[in-house]
Amino acid sequence: MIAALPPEAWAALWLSIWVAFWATIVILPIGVFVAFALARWQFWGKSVVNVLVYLPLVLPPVVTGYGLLILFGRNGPVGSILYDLFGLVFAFRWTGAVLAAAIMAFPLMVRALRSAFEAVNPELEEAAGSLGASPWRVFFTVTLPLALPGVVAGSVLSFAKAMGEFGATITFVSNIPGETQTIPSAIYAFLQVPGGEGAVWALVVLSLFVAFGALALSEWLTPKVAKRVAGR
Amino acid sequence: MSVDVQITQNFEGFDLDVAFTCGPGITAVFGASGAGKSTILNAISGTLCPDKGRVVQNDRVLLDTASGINVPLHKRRIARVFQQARLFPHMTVQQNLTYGGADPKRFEQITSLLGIEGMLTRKPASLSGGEQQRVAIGRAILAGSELLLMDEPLSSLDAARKAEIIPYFSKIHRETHVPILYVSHDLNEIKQLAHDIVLLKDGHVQHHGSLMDVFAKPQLVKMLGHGQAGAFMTARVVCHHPDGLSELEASCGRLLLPHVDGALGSDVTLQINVSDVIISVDPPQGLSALNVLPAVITDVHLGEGPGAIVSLQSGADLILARVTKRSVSELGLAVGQSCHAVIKSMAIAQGRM
Repeated sequence: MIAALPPEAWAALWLSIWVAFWATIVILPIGVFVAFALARWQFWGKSVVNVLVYLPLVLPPVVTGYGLLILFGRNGPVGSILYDLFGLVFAFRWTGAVLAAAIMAFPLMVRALRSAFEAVNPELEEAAGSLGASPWRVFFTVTLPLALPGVVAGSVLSFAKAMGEFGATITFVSNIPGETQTIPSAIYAFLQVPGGEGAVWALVVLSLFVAFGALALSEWLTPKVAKRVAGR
Repeated sequence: MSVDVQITQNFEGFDLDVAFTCGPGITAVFGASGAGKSTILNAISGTLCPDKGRVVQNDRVLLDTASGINVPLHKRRIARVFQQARLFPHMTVQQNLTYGGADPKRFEQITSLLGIEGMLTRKPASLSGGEQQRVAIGRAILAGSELLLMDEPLSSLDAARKAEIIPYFSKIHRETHVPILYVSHDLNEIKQLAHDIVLLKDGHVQHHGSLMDVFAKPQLVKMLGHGQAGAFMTARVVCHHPDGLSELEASCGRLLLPHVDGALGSDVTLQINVSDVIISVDPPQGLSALNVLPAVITDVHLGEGPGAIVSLQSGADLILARVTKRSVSELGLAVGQSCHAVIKSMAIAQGRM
């Protein structure tokens, strides 16, 4: 079944993994910053930031995709600037698929990281400061290592979310085989043509493999990290 | 080496207004919970900026609200030992100890001083509470600080663990000469450690002086509590008798105590509790008490209740006795009068030996 898979299905698999990988990589540092700010700092407009971060979670994905199209399209206010400055194009490109997946996965990343940061005892950070460590050093040697289980959980969640993203992606970057067609959009496309069920099933099995792989990795990694953090 | 501290902070229904100088040695800040001890420590260490305040360490201004100076926590070079050890759980003991930086020479000296050289590769979770606190103390010292803040470092430990750690503080001070500000609400700890005491009550400094001086003040007896108050004296061990008693020589004469751990010729610090002294106008006879010292009354301090504190000069030493006002009037106790002090028991301050 899998051997008989049309080449565009393989392309969809690799593209999905590629897109999900980059989406996770991109939102990890941004998520760390935003989650830390939300967990530790009091600042003006905090509730606005909070709402903006979690908005993609409650908004219909198609609306998010349309919003991205308006903002990041070639003639959109942000898209045109990025094109003029860096030659960066999002609309109907794999980079756009990354952007859509990143936006959709971001709330999950921030949520996992935020609770991980909130679980780090601020008294340890204070102790580190009294030993002469600058706030940066405290963050990288105490806070972040102790929040590592949250980093793992957030990354796995985000990767899975990015793999499965459909609505925002198809709205923003359409469904172009080899360029923007990820597994969900490929399944959707094969469902539209007569005799496409075989490819659909193969893709379903493939995505199950990827999902199990990600879960197994996280199950293997999480106790290791938790053990290291707890110091046993 | 000295630290000038001046802090004013208004809380709802509570004003803190203190000023004191912490010299070399171990300065204890004593007060009940809510007296403002933590606020003082936070302002010195840099985790709290008070309404008004000034903290100057050897001419280095760390905090001056009047001129807007507030050196951040990590640049103050003031390490702090907390009630809980607060070791970094993901690091080994060695990594914890060197977190604030440590040169190898001092590292060996301090780890062997604290008896933690055998646990360097272990993680904090596998250590006992007392061991963790010893590592925390080592970590603070090795950070190369110019002042150590001890924030009730023994309060989370049981009596046996406390006794295990107390001797280390004096050792640390003797070998590193770093001034220590030791905050506690436990006078037993303070009596064993401190050179100076700052007595704190309701956010104000009630008294500041040397340990000997504070415990010799009749008017402070009430604040210290009758169970803890009583003057200190120094005595020299001169003989260990076969019946288990040790003979000590003080300025006021010879004293007999149950066996004292101390080599012949060594000096020990004794405290005579205010409640363990009986005043006799005539030389007492037929008493079971072994220690009867001739004395002269130097002060009679009448309290608000039925009690009175009588100060007695015996040799070069001072003894405080708590008697009733009725005894004062019936015996006609007055300044300048000669009498005898009958001592029921004496305590040795172990940490000071």
